[in-house]
Amino acid sequence: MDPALFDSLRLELRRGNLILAVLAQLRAEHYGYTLRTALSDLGLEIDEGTLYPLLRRLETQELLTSEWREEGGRRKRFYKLSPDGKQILKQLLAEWKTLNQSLTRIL
Amino acid sequence: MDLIDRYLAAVGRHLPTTLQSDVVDELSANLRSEAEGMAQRLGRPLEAADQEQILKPHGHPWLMASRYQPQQQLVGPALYPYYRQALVMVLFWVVLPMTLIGGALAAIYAQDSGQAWGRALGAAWSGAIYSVGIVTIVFAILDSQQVRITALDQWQPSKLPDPQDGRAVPRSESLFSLIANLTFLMIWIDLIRVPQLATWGGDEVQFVPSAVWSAVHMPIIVTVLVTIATSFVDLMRPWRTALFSLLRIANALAFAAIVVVVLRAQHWIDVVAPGVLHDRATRGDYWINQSIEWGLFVVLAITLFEASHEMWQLLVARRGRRV
Repeated sequence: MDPALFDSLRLELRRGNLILAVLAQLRAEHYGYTLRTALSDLGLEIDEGTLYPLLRRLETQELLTSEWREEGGRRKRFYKLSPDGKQILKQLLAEWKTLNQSLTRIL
Repeated sequence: MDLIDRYLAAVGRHLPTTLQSDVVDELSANLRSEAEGMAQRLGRPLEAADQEQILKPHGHPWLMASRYQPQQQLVGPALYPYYRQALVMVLFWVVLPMTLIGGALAAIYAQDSGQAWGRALGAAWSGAIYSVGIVTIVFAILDSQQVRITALDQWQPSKLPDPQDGRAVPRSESLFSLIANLTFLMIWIDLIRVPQLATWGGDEVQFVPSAVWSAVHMPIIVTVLVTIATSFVDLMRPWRTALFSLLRIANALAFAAIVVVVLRAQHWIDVVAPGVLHDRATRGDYWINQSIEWGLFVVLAITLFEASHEMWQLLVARRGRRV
């Protein structure tokens, strides 16, 4: 089997799920590093090079809000779900659950 | 300056100035937190190798910076089918006609056939580059604005063509072509009476066609007759087969070649008048020939566009089983 094909399909499979996981995790406020460690502690590893720019894109799409705040003697950018983000997350979770149930039956 | 500072500086260099400080500050806070966490776990200050271990998963500074660009793809999957179709359409509706017209112009004005081919290929290449570039830019802008094309959302299955009917040709189109070509044929045959005479203030003025008209008289009749025959068949049986499309393309290209031959003559009518009208005849000669040249270019362009359209229908449009 072509490993490049597997990588490409794996990437596609993960992409949407990562967004869902990030949105769900940001129901509580995080900055980039703590978000990554929180996801990692829950078993979801995500590259820094993927996560940090993703946060910016989700904010541009108005799914997240952010604010700069000082913590531990350093300014950090904290993200959390916006009202639109909450709405979208609810819809995406419903979609994911349906898909997951179907997949479970299929598999 | 430690490795983290150097990494941040390198990322910053690849970012647009509007994002630079914001992204670098944020990335810096994340990296420093990560470094603190690592130092706590190790129970000692970090060395260069430890910092390298932190930085490596972030990716090359250029790659990291590029991921912060607002647009990550030129044309996404939602727009891609439209983009691809637009490229194909541009190929047939812009590049191909421009190439044919470029080739025809080269055939009219070039000194030799090598030069003509060179110019035609040059026109094709530059036309293709410009067209693909413009279409890509337009779709990249649409994608960046998250525009969704909804034109095909309301499609109706009942309006799908019957595959048994092949490519339908409207009867109105065939009828118009038939009438127009028959009319032209009658005028063209009648034009054999040369020279034409007219009176200008009581004096007789002659309009003498140049020799090129005699040379192309019969070829024009043949191409017009082929058009009349194919239009008649289209009228009787309003769907067109691939063979018929090929015949129409060949006929259109043959007609275009005849127009090129005529254009190469560069003078088509001599206006001959007695001495007192000589000046007016000279001006008349100029304007008549100028008008004929413009008219011929219009006819050439239309013919080549028709040939491109027929090629598009033949090669790209979905065909039924009869084609």
